[in-house]
Amino acid sequence: MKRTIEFELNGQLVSAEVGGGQTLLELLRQRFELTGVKEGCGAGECGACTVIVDGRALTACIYPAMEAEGRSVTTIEGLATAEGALHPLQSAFVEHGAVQCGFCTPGNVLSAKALLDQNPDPSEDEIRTALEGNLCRCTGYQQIIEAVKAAAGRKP
Amino acid sequence: MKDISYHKPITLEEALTLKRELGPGAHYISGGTDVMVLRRQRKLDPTALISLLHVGGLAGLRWEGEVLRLGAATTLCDILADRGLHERLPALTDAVRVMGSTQMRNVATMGGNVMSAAPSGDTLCPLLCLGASCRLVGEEGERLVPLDEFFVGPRQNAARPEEILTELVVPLPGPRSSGAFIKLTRRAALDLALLNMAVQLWLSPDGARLEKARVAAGVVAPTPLRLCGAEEALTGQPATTATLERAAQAIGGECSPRDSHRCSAWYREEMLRVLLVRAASTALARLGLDFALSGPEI
Repeated sequence: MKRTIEFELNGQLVSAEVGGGQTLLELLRQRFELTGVKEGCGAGECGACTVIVDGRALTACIYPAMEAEGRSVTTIEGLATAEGALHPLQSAFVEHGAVQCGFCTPGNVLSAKALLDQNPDPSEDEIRTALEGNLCRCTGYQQIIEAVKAAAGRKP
Repeated sequence: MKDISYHKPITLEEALTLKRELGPGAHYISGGTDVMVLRRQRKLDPTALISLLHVGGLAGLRWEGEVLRLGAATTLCDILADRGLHERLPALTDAVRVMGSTQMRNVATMGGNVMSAAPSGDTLCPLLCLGASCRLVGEEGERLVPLDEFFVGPRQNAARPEEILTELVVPLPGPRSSGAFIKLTRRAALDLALLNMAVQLWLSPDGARLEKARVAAGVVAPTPLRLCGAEEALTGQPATTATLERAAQAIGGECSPRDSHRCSAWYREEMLRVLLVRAASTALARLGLDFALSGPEI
């Protein structure tokens, strides 16, 4: 049964007709065409679909779209400025070779962003914990961790 | 997948009314990390979902004298954010820290882990050791069910279909008690336990003996299980390594671990004894005794 909900998406108030069984991943990809939100496992176990909702990273593939109502959702498309300037995390990922095939990258960047927004100067352990739910099949973990360390402290 | 209705009641009465009106196909959901996965796997086919996240008063921790009242909708990340909880109930925070991933802990709830009643549920062993009870609210009012009586089979609990778990009532173990939890997995994050175990130990006033002991293990039976043989072997005994080793050998009849694709029954039985010594040593180290911790203390 569909119902119209309103929420904030990448800084803009939006409304959408949502089905009761729909996931946030489906809503973001199909209705809003934000295909930076990737579907990997579909069971919350790979982190490719990670988005930030009200400041917390979560896996959109198992999050009911209806629960986005009234909340603030950030996807990878919301990070760069309107003029196209990259977010410091995105720049750091490029500089440190933290992007290989790229499929896990949006999820990793958003997990890292949720961490740095709460804790601007994390330890390596805290970075590893924040990223533990993001699998990289190219096994570029070390570069990803280096990129997050480099981005910590840089002003967005 | 067919479309279904999604409801967000804000009171318990409204949630119960919805459940009655929508019928047996309606399913409660909170964080959704279990329900949404089961639905996708087609192991659960609800006609409607009733979200408990917006019901007032279900989230948060309330310390009341000798009891902690832990709201069912409290997320796992809220548990970790509470430093007082790690100092007073370390077995519980040990367990929550190794559950799922950051993304899952941000939405998964304490109540959800208990209601799912999985044999591997990580919070269940610590809660059993602490003597926690479930407060359930249903059509016939409210009742308090000890967790010892709550798990009746794999993913089966003693709640009636319409009943809502509102909170876990956890008696505080006091200053002469500590606990620990260990989860045996193949990788550090995003893995189900091959085996998990919690221990809670109470020292005698002079600190020399174990006055009381509770031990529980998961993935060794259809439900998480108290290991009464080990508890008896610890109770009244001096707090020594020899006592812990005797207790490990006293683990017995109640366990019926199975061979699975994750690991063999033989390995589970062997590791059960190892984990008991490690978990009990950690609990005693946390009480200031000269024992080894099983991992880094946070």
